Amino acid sequence: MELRTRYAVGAVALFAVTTLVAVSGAVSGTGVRSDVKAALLWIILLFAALSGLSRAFVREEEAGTADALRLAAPATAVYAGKWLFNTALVLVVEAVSVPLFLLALPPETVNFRLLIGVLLLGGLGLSGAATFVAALIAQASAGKSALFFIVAFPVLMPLLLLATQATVGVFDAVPAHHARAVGDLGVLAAYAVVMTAAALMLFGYVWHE
Amino acid sequence: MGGLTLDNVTMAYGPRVLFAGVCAQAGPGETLVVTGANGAGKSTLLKIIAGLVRPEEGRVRREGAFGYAAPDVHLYAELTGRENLAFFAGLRGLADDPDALLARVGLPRGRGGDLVGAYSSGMRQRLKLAVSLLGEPPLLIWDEPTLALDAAGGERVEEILGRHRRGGGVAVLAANDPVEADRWAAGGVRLHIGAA
Amino acid sequence: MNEARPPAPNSGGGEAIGRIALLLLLCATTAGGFLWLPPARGFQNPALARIVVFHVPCSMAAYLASGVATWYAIQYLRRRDLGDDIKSRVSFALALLFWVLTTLTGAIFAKVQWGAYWNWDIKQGAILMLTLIYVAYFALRAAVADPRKRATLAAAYCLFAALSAPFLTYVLPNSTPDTLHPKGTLQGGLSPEYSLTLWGGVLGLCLVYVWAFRVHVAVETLQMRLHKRARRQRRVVSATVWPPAPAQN
Repeated sequence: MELRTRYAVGAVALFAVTTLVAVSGAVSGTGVRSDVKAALLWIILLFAALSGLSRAFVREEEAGTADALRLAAPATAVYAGKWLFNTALVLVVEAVSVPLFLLALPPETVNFRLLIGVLLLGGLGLSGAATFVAALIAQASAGKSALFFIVAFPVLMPLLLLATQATVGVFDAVPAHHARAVGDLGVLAAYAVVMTAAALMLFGYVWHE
Repeated sequence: MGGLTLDNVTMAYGPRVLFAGVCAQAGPGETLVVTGANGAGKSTLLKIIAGLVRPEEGRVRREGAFGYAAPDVHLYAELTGRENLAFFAGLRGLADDPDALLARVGLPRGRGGDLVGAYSSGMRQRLKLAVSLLGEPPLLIWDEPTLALDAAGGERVEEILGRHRRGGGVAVLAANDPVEADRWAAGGVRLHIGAA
Repeated sequence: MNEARPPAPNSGGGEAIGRIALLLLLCATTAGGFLWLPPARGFQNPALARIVVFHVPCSMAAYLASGVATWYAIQYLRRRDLGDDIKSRVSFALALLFWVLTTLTGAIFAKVQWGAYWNWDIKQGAILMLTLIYVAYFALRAAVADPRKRATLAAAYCLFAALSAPFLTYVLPNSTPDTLHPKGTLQGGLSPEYSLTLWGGVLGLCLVYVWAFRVHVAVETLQMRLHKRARRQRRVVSATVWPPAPAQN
């Protein structure tokens, strides 16, 4: 059913592309250090994804379908559904933005296997945590979109830092960075697992009164 | 078979107490009708019975599955009638025939394939009732079931309720119209939420 | 409805003595910190570096408060007792207070030692992030009208954020191998006088936290109970068994 609302995916992808264009317009491709590039990439991804993820539960609450869902399906199923959709959304955004990013701001080198790993694990962590926050703020009475950013950001900070740090290892050729990035992949995986598991457990409390 | 017990149910929103210490029971074939002025808390009480709202105090004991329909709970406007039924049936693992249900509530088969967004309010109400009948639950919790329904629709509701009760099912209904309330409460219990 | 017991009368003498003792302890620590302790060796401004004996206790108290807040958040989700939510929130606010104090004392130290109040050092970044979590907590609370929902969402967020925090402490020391923040002083680098003052400070501030916590919780709980009593029961539900209709349907 979410697939019918294709506009969400389109809007998010467009957001990512626009941001990318703006950034690359402001920054010249070669003179930027790899850690700045890494940071930029993840900031773009983060904001694009967040703008799309925040509506996951709000639409249900506002349209009045949330209660019907509450009665019909177990909480875990509801959460899993939203989470899977959000994960797909994040992956699509990554698939669209990253190649463009690499073209606009080409880094020194690109370690593709690491890159895929970071994008996958980071993306999972992102959607896991953000979906939960979306569930939280959906029940608020006012100022939901701003609230989403305020609440989601601190929780996602570790992810952002980790992913950026790992991406540095992807983008430059320093062996120490590379080794560190591999370690970071492990932690990213841990983050994704922990946050998603926590979300699953806590969601039940949040969803039912 | 279904059964329902309300045990010392109390509900308040901040300083406003809606009702306190409600005790009631309904067994197979019995009906509980809730009446009261607008805003008195009928819908809230039904939501508590359905488990959507947690009462401040007290407990509700339900036996068996239940079907719920209320004015402020909507179905998916982006799906068709049939898809809505299939969706909710699938969520609960039921295999009801959507067309049969549509017929029971008096929705023409042709309209089953239209988006709910294009339904009239009366048709949406019929669809809501259909969804609540999925799985032939022993307990029906209906909040103003005849809202937006024409005379024919009203008759369907009576028919369904009658069959449900004869089959030993329990029904909890909220009604604004006193005539309806009297009719439904015949042989059952009427809870009136009113001023002291 | 459970009857609200009138608050137990102050155990007069015992409490007063306890508070006076606490006050003395704090005074001793402060005085000792500034007057008695020999200036710290190896620091830029040895005299002012002694602020560490305040900095560490602040952060310890903050950790304590955070821990208590998280504990009560868990309790609330299990028991749905609004009293637990009050305790969680009060603890949260106190934790924020202590974190701010920690940051301030840290900043003073930084200014003295390295010349700038804030230099984006990793530890300072971490504290900033932490503060953002607390701010987000209160922002979330402010946005929800229904008290029980508010409590549930707040507790859930508290736990969720608490789980993400350890990752922060993992990333940060690793990303920059050398943070300016001194490490390992607690374990081995303290002379006896410092140890005494420092741990005395820890004890003192923790007790301050406990005291403030209990006072706030008591006040809030009382308010909640008063609210409940003030509610007038205006609605009565009457249940009537309807006379059986002549023709049973």
